[in-house]
Order: sequence, then C-alpha cells, then structure tokens
Amino acid sequence: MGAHTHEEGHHHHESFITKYLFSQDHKMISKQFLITAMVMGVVAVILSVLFRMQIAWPNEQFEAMKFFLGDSYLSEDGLLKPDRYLAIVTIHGTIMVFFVLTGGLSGTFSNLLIPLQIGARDMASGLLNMLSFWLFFLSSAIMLYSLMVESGPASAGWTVYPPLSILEKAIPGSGTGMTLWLLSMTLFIASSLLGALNYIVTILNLRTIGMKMTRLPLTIWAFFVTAILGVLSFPVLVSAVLLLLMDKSFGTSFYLSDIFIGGEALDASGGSPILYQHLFWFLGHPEVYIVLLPALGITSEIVSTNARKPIFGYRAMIGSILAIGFLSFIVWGHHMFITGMNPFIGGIFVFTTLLIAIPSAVKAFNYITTLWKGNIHYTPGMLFSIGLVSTFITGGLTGIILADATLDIPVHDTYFVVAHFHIVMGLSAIFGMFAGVYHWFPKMYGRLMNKKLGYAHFWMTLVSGYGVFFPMHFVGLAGAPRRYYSNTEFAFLDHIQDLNEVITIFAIIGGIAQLIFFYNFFHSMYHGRVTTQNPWKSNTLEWTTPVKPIHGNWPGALPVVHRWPYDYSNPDHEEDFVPQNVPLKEGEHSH
Amino acid sequence: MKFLIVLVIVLVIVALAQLMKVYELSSKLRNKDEADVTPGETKFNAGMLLVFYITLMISSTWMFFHYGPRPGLGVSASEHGNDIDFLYDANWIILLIVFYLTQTLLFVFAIKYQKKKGRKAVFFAHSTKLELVWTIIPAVTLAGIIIGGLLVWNKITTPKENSTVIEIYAQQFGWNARYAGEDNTLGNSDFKVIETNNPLGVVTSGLIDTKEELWKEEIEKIKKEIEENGDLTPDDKLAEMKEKVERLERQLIRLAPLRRAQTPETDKAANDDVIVKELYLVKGQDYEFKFRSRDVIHSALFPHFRAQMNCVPGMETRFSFKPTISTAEMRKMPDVIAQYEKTNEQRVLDGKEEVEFNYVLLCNKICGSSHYNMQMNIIVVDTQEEFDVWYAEQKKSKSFPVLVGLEEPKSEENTTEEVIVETVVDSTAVAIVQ
Repeated sequence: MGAHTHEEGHHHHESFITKYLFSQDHKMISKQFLITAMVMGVVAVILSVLFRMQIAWPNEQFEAMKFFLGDSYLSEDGLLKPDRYLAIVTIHGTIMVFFVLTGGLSGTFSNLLIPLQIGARDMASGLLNMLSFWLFFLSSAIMLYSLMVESGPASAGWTVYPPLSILEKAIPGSGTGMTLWLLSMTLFIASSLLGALNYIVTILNLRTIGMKMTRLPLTIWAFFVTAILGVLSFPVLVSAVLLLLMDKSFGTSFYLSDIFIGGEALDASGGSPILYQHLFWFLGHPEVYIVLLPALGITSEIVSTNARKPIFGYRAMIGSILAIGFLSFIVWGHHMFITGMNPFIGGIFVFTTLLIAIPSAVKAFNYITTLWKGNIHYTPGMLFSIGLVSTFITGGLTGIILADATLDIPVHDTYFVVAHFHIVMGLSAIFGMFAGVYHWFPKMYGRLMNKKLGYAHFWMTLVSGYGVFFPMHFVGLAGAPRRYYSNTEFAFLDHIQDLNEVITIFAIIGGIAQLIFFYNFFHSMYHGRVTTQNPWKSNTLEWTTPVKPIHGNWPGALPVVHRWPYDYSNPDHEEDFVPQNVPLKEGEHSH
Repeated sequence: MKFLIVLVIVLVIVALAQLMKVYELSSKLRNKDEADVTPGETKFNAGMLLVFYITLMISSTWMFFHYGPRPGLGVSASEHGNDIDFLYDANWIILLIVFYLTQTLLFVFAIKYQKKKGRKAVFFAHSTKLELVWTIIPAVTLAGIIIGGLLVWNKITTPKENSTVIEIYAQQFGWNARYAGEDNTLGNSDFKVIETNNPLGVVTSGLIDTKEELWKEEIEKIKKEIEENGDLTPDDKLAEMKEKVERLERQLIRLAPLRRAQTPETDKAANDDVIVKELYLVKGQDYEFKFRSRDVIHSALFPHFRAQMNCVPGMETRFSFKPTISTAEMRKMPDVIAQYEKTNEQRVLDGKEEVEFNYVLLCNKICGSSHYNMQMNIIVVDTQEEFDVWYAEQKKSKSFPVLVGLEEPKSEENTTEEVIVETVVDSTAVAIVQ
C-alpha cells in the first residue's frame, strides 16, 4: 500500500454492499464484529437470567416465562425443563466465551486498533479479514439457529465433554443440536485463525517508520500475543472437534469405550473420554488468556491515558504478557486434577499453574502504581478499567485455591469455580470490552458516548457483577455443584438458598443495566456529540487520524513515530501528553 | 408474588427509559464537552468509589465470617479432610491479606489522585527495585503455597495399607456400590454383560457360559426366522433382524477376552461381592474406593469427607479416605443441630418433610437431565459389629442379588436365563427410575 491509497478513500464511492456488508476496511469489520457480538451477548444474558431464575426459585412457574416462551420446547407452564436448563447453560457459556469474549473482544479491538496504532493503512489482507468476519457471522447464526432445534441445542456444558456430548441417548441435545454446535465451532475456529494470522502479519510487517516493537502500545502487544496463542491452540480444538464429530457421526471411537446405554452395550472400545479433555483444555486454558489479554491491553492503554501517567513498568508489562502467554500452554492439566490423572503429573500442573500468579501479580501491582500520584480522569472507560483491575485481583486470588490440586478436590466443579472464572475472566474481560467501547467509540463513529449514562451503566454493572459472583463463592464452598437444575434434592444445601436468590436478583439488575449501554451505544451512534480529533488527549497514533474515518486511515503520508506511547506528564513538556509522532526535543531521550 | 417481581422489573425498565430521556435532554441543553470530566462528575465518581470500596470491604468481611470457608459442611468427617481444611484456612489467611491490601491500594489511589485543576501527574515510568519487590514477594509466597499443597497432595494420593476396597459404580442417574467381600478383592466386571440383575456387569465363568448359550440360541432363532419367512418380511424389518444377528455375533466374539481373563480365583472373588444402594462405612477404617461408570462421565463428590473423583467410562479411578466421625456423632454436633433446626423450620414452612443430617454422595459432573438428583446415602457406623449386622442383611437380601444362582451355576441356571430374557430390554427403564 502506498501513499495514494487515501485519494481512493476520498473519491471512490462505494455501494452499500461493499461499504457495510462485504467491507474490507478494518474499521468497518471491527464494527461488524462488535455489533454481532453485542447481539450474541444479549442472547447469552437473557439465557443466564432464565436459568438463574430457575436456581433461585426452583420449580416455580413464572408468568413472564409462560408469556414469552409459552409451552414450547424450552419450557412448560412457565417452568424450564431440566434438560433444556442444561441446554441454555451450555449455550450461554459457549456464546460468552467464544462469541462475545473471543470473537467480540479480539475481533473488535484487534481490527480497529492494530492498523490505527501501528500506523498502517489497513490489515495485511483485507480479504482474509472480511472472510474472518463472515465466517464468524455464519457460525454465530448457526449457533443461534441451534437454539431453535426441536431436540434442543448442545446440552453437555460449554466444554462438551464426551461421551455425554456424543450419545443422543444420554441427552437429547447431543443429537442435531450438538452437530450444529460442532459445525458452528469449526467455522468459528476458521474465523479466529484467519483473524489471528492477519493480526500477527500486520503487526510484524506493517508498522510505520520508527514504530519499533519496544514502542508499541501495550494494547498491540496484548493483541499480538493473543493472536499467537490463538494460532497455536485453536488448531488443537479443531482436531478435538473433528474427532468428536467422527465419533458422533461415523462410528469411530476416539473418545468412547465400554459404554452401556439405552439397554445395550455399544461397540465402541479402546477410546478415552480423557483424551478429549486433554485436547480441549490444551486450547481451553490459553483460551482464558485469549479472552483476558486483550482486556488487559486495553486497560493498560486507558489507565495510562486517564491517569495522565506513563504505564508503570512498560517492559515488565510486556514481559508478563509473554510469560503469561508461554505458561498458559503448560497448565491445562489443572482442569483435570480429579479425572484420575497420575498424582505426580498433577503436582507438576500445580507448580506451573501457580507460576502464572507471578506475572499476573506484576501486572496488578503495575496498574496500581500507575494510579499512584496520577491525575485521574474518571471517564467511563477509566472506571471500567479500574473495575477490571479490581475483579482481576479478586478472581485471580481464588484461582490460587483452584490451582492447588489439594484444595481443588472439594470445590472442583462447584459454584466456587463458576464464581472464580466469571470474575477473573467474565467480568474482567467484559469490563475491558466496555472500557474499550467507551474509549474508542469516537474512533468508530466520530462521536462520543454519553458520559452520564456511562456512569450509570458502570456503577450498576460493577455492583451487580460483584453482587452476583462474590456470594457465589460461598455457594460453592458449601458444596453446591454447578449445572444443577435445582438444589432442592439435597437438604444440606437448603441453607444457601437465600444466597442464590440474592445472586439472581443482582443478575437481573445487571441484565437491566446493559439496556442503558445499548441505548447509549445506538443513540450516540447518530446523536452523540461530535468528537474532537483527540478527545482524551492521548499519545497513540489513532488520535492523529481525521475525525471522520477514511479508507487508508491517514490523508497524506503515514505518521512517523519518534517516541514511546506513554509520555504522559513528561516534565520536559508543557502539555501533559506528547503524541508518538512528535519529534524528540533537542537533548531529550527516547524512553 | 412472582408476578409482582416481574411487574417491578417491567416498571424499573420503564423508569430507566424515562430517566435516559431526561439525561439526554439535559446534556444537550448544557452543550458541554462530553469528553471532559467535570469537577461535579469527578466528585460523584470519587464518592461512589469510596462507597463501593467500603461496601466491598464490609460485605466481604461479613460473608467470610458468616459463612466461613466451608459453610454448612462442619468439621471434616475424614482424616485427610482435616489436612485439607487446615490448608484452606492457611491459604485463606494469605489470600485475604492480599485481597484487602491490593483492593485498598487500588481504591485509595483511584480516589486520592482524582483529577484536580493544576495538578500534573508524576512522571514515574519504572523502578527496577519496586518491580523486583513485587516479583519476589509473590514468588516466595507462592513457593510456600505450592509446597504446602503438594505435601498434602502426596499424602492424600498415597494408597494406604489394609484398605477395604469398595467399588462405586455410576450410571445415569444413580449409584451402586460393590463391597469386595471377605477376600477384599473385587471380581472382574465388564459392561458387555450388564443387565438388570447384574447392574455392574460382574463377570463369572458361569455367567459367560450362560450368555454364550443364550446369544447363540438367539442367533439361531433369528437366522431360522429369516430363512423361513425372509421372503415375506418387509425389507426394513429384515435389515433390522440381520443387524441384530451381526451385533450378537460381534458380542460373542467380544466375550472371548472375558473368558480368557477368568480364573478360579476371579470367580471366587466375584462370588462374594455384594452390591448395595446405600454405603455403610466403619469409623476409623481405611477405604479405597474404585470408581467406574457405565455411560457418561460422572463425578463422585463426598462433600463432608472432602473427597471427589471422576467416574470415567472405560477406566478405573481411585480415591482413598478414612472416615473419622460417625453419622450419629455428627448429628450430635452443636452446629449441625443448629443448622438442621433452621433448615427444618424453613422446610416445614415450605411444606416439605423434615430431614436429619446424613452424609451423601452426589454427582458433580454434568451427566444428563437428572444430574441434579443423582445421590447415594452414606452411613458411617461406630463399630464393626454394627456394620456386620447390616452387611449380613445385605448378603441375604435378594433386592440387589449378586448374580443370583451363579454360586451354584448348575441348579439355578434356568432361572437366570429366564430373568435375562425378560429384562434385557428393561434395563433402561430401571436406570431411569433409579
């Protein structure tokens, strides 16, 4: 791409189809990812409210459910059916982990920010990028469609462990619904891989003059390592998924052995369900960081900008991102401590898993130190970032319990685990995503989101987020297993029922809070205040592009980078920010 | 009541929509820079951060004290469980200190260094000393946590001598337990010979003979049927019959390895096995549990004993523990009494029957629609004598006969055969009822 691109951008009129549908412009693709993910997110939140109501008020018939769902395949007389309860739990998890927090988060912000922050005209391959989105869209559509299948969507939990996910006789959702799940996931993985390869190539090859790797904003570092994790781990999930499909549809037995179901002994022999778990978690654990790292990257950028201070320990931050990325590949066994794995191997996984706490602690302390003696602007993006640091710490700490094989024994697969990963990965990542949307909305639509609504949204989300997931730890410590249709069959769990009600009430409030965000988002898209070029007085290159986004991003030549992105409140300068393209003063050292 | 809740929710939504409109109008009227945080907004958010921080600290502290690290589970009822509980307490102390410290630093800094006119942030980009401090301190703390954890882990996973062997067998949606009998050795078992009367698929030579004969007979019967009436049978029915013959023939072939594995010793081991639906354990006795599953993955969670192990089809897993508190003793503990009084109060209000404390084994791995109700009662008795009385009863009882008649294969073979014919189809129904 040369300097002529911008002229095309200005004068070339595109049809609706090439501009909005099959666009190859990274900024449009980023918005497509975001809005698709938002739609998926709404579905997942509604599902979560449905099953939370069942847990809090078991066997209670809800007028609302009767009204909306009727006597459908999901519910009867306003009561969820037990196997459909598992189905919506499964789809909630799948959508949230893959479609919202992987596709939505990386898809949106890697696409938007990589070219803008490294000073490139677009992604290395616009075509692959477009394909990546449309595969994502197709897989989202298939996943939603699977919700409507008569026999129900996949119901074996988002991890779809075989044999449950293979045997239709074990649960009806393992029929058509599961086939659709596998199909959807295969497309999703293809989408992720196309995206990730593109991100890696773009970051390595298309950085503008002066943009050394050590001058990259931490967002880009996070997206870079995330993409590498995706490229290395998602193919393993493809293989796991394909083997599962073959077991399901073509009579192989990779994961099946010694099964007697529906009154007959199956022919399958020699396979191992545990093999699937190894393959799945080899993706599954890096996946946690695929979800988390972009959120942390976004936070680094926003915290530094709004504290008007350089991010503390830039190199240490890069180091910890790399360390977390590397370690995430050798810890997957901690999901399998009680599968009967060799205790010695269990011990090794305890060790590697707990090592991750060190780079994580470094990150948390660096964020806190960045706030110290800053001049903090409470923009909605900043508040969500502060929220992220808080949930990252809270959720990370309970991870230390779960990483310890001994302590894992009584709480494995209980609500303690649900609480842990929803705080450290769910809340943190979604906070990062919200922070990013509030912060870069001006770059997407040339307008600002309403701040007051942003505050209302933040405070309701933070309070309900903690309100849902903090008490949930105690439900788990009391021994309540996850994925239970109701706890009524066990009297020893009676005493935590009031906690479950509290959790559900907060979940409903949290769901409602998201309406504020939606209103704000779509309203501001058309009626928001028009932004200035650099509303947050930020250093990174995206704020040197024109307010009205153009193809090729910069009119004229690409900016040249002279300094690192965190020269906030640099004593050598009058202003409290120095954009990356400002040349060094005489005698000034590049950081 | 629930209708009211729904109504309230609807009203809240309406109210919020109205509020949004007001906000929007007012901000338009004022025509200010949306990106700039006003002093009023700074004050509001700083106040909110403070309120939130205080609420978080108070409510989390209250919850830790009110619920504790194992709400409602009381003291550990197993020996290794005490080690786990101790480790939990130690870890919680460390984690809580870190939690309070870091959240405090985070919120205090976030509030204290709020935007002020004329304030310029300090340019403080890095400090090797500080960074080393918060790399080394977590590393040392974690080393302690890892060592503590692994010491207990090794202790738990090392098998004990003289353990009584019990098999826990999972299926959708219930549990069976098999006592190994006087020889403390479980007989062979295989999923291919499972039926209602033999829910665990325990294998003896006699059983293989019976099965072989039965299947051969059936194959002959169907083949004859095909030969005689094949021309008149509809195609799909014919295909079905042929498939059944093939399946039975395959099963016959697959019986061969079972026979090869069978010796007089394994037959003997199998014949004194006892299968029960309720687990009786003796206080102070070491147990080694062997877990299997017949259909999907289940997980045996013993919350009061701090024990858990997955049951995986196609493989055997193990977990050992020693119960240290009997059911009767547990029922006399003050906190257990208090908890169950409260529970029963509520149960009476809800129109449910009252309950007493009982140890329980529950399924903790998603396994299907009745996953939430897959349980087995566990009773820990004080003395071996109490156990012996119960065990003798189980041995006599025909409700869960172990391979009825296989101890004397000759005389009762016929009855076994009949039962098999009747119940082969039924076993799913039974499984569901269970």
